[in-house]
Amino acid sequence: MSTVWLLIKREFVERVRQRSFIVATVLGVVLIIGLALIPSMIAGFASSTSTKFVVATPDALTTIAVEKSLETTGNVVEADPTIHPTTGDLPPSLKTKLMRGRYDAALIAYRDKQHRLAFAYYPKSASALQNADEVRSSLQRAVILADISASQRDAVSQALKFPFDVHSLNARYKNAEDEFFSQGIVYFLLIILYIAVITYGMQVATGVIEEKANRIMEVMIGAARPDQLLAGKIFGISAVALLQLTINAIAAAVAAIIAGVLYGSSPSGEQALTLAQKTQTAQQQQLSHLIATQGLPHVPWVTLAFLIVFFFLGFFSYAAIYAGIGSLLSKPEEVQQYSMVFMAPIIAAYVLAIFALQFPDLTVVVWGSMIPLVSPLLMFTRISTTDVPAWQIAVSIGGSLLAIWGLTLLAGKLYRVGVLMYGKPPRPSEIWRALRAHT
Amino acid sequence: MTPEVTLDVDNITKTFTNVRAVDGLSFSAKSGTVFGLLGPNGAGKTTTIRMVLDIIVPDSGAVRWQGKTVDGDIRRTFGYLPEERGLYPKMKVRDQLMFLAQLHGLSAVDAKKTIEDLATQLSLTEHLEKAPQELSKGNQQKVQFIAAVVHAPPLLVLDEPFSGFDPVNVEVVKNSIRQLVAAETTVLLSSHRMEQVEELCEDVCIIDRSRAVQSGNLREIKRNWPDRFIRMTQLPNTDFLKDFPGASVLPSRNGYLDVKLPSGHAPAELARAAIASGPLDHFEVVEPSLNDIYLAAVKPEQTT
Repeated sequence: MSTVWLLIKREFVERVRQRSFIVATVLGVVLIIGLALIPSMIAGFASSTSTKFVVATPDALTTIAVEKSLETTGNVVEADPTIHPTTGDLPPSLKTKLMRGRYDAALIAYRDKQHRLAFAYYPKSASALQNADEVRSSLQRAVILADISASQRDAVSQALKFPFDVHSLNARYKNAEDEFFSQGIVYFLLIILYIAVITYGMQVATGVIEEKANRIMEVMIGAARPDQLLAGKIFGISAVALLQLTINAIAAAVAAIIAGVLYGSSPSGEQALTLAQKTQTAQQQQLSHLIATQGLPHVPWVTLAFLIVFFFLGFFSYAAIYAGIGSLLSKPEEVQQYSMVFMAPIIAAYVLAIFALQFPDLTVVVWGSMIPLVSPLLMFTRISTTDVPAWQIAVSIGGSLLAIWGLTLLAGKLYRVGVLMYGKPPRPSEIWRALRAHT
Repeated sequence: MTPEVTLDVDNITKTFTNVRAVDGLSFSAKSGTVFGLLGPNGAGKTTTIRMVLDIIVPDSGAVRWQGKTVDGDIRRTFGYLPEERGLYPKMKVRDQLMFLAQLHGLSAVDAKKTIEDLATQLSLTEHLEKAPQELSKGNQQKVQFIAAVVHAPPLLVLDEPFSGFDPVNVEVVKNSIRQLVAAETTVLLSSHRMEQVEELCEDVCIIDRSRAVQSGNLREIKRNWPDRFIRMTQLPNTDFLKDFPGASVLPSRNGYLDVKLPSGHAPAELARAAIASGPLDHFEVVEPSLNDIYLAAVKPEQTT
């Protein structure tokens, strides 16, 4: 044990001391705080200055209807009673007003040839342009109410805001938000595990190759057993990963608190989200942002515990595989050449997990959630989105532990074989022969 | 105390895909002595060393340490200086040596003291706080040497330990090796530097094309060597050598005439013939050098 401990300590201390680690960590923190704060800042800015309209309509009644429609969403409306447009063109006086004044947009209402109420929208500011769809839907109410008699108006107005209550009978989700968060946390694991495997798993592989390339391996193999050397490498780098991820998590939490203090947590968070939906196509970014700004109130603690368990199971499985592949390569450059070999398993698991998110109860997913390598992602997806029998969770965790143990032993064998393999990467038949020679 | 055989290499053979790297090699090394493993590049020295160190397993035969077949646990008591540098390039020398010493089971206190002592002995103290990549080749090799001996191994395997050293440092390292030998360490030395091997080794084994071509106690090998080496005054006329078939003039050094005299001729006869052909001030029968033995044992690479 003390041997492994020494190896872990060396790996951790030497890596954390390196300038590259310090630079990467600082950059990561800056990036996280930036990413978390910028959308909130934009959202905060957007909410503080609502769109300011200058409006011209055919008659006073329409003006009232339009004002009512737009003001409900927090906008400022200023009508110009001197102009009654008959086409969608922007009257010159209104244009002057729009350009000189502090308006974001002009809205022209007029009657077209069929005498229908029509609108022409002249946004000046960028946010007003982005809001075009919103403005259009706000005006629907005005259009409906414009051409009906006063007696009908109350009835229609009532009908427009009919009651619609959701009473979820789903045991898991009380409302849409719950479901959203359950899936969100799955995405969170997917992303964090993917990043960890790609960056730190790769470091395990390159770490092994570097020791081979500078021949320290020949000395080390005389001081410790191959499985001890590999365990030291895997757990040492995992400790580095954990440190860096923890620093990042703290940074995210700090950013969330700052965002909350500066912009008021809940509304700005939602605004940020709607804004994010428009500006960012990647669903993950919205989710991680939402989690960052709103916390995890809808996810049970048990699920969070499983998140940590399956993160480690997944990471160690892949780290052991990467250590094994690293043992067979000779030069750090070869990692690039063989990057597809490294990436394929985690990408496959990722795609499967996205699929499982939609169909968590499918037989393939149920079985997959008990097969090592894909099981950490699939089982967590199931736990978060459906009810899973305890024995299946046990099989999944047990299987993963066994796989980590077996893969580390196998990697240790490959490492021992790989000590002497310099030059071109070996053929599968050569690996097999060498493995047998040492058993 | 007579030195006891500690390392016993018994008829080991290793074949890599279609290439026989080592073929039925046997030798044994004694405690408190240096055993020299010689041979041209590619003869199988490194493969032999790797089998001694249990890095690779022989196809047949055995390597024994004090009667027991060498396994991982025994091997981890050995010290090894590989031919190529094996150091963490960015890890401070002191940290690195502490790490290796502790891996070999030394306590932090003992490790610290041993490292200080060895660094003083090899005049490396001022470099302990640097990383190997900042050091000269010679100093890196010294670090590597300390790494190999820091845990006082009973068997020390040195693969080309003098490469990268200037003559002063060669002496420094030789002295360290002598001290280890005095402390009953068994040393297995592989080198191309004949003078060093000749000076340090009691026994040698010369390998050529995966087989031992000359093996045993170096002094006995020299004594039983069939050819005589004679050094005499450079004479103006060397026609008298024609009466000694097989005798050849070696490249002259220091103004002497060096002659290799095959067995069957008595040096005394050569002396008489020499006196007859000119004024002879100096006539000496010298033992063959290890270099001579090596060159005679190892056939030049055949080019087809």
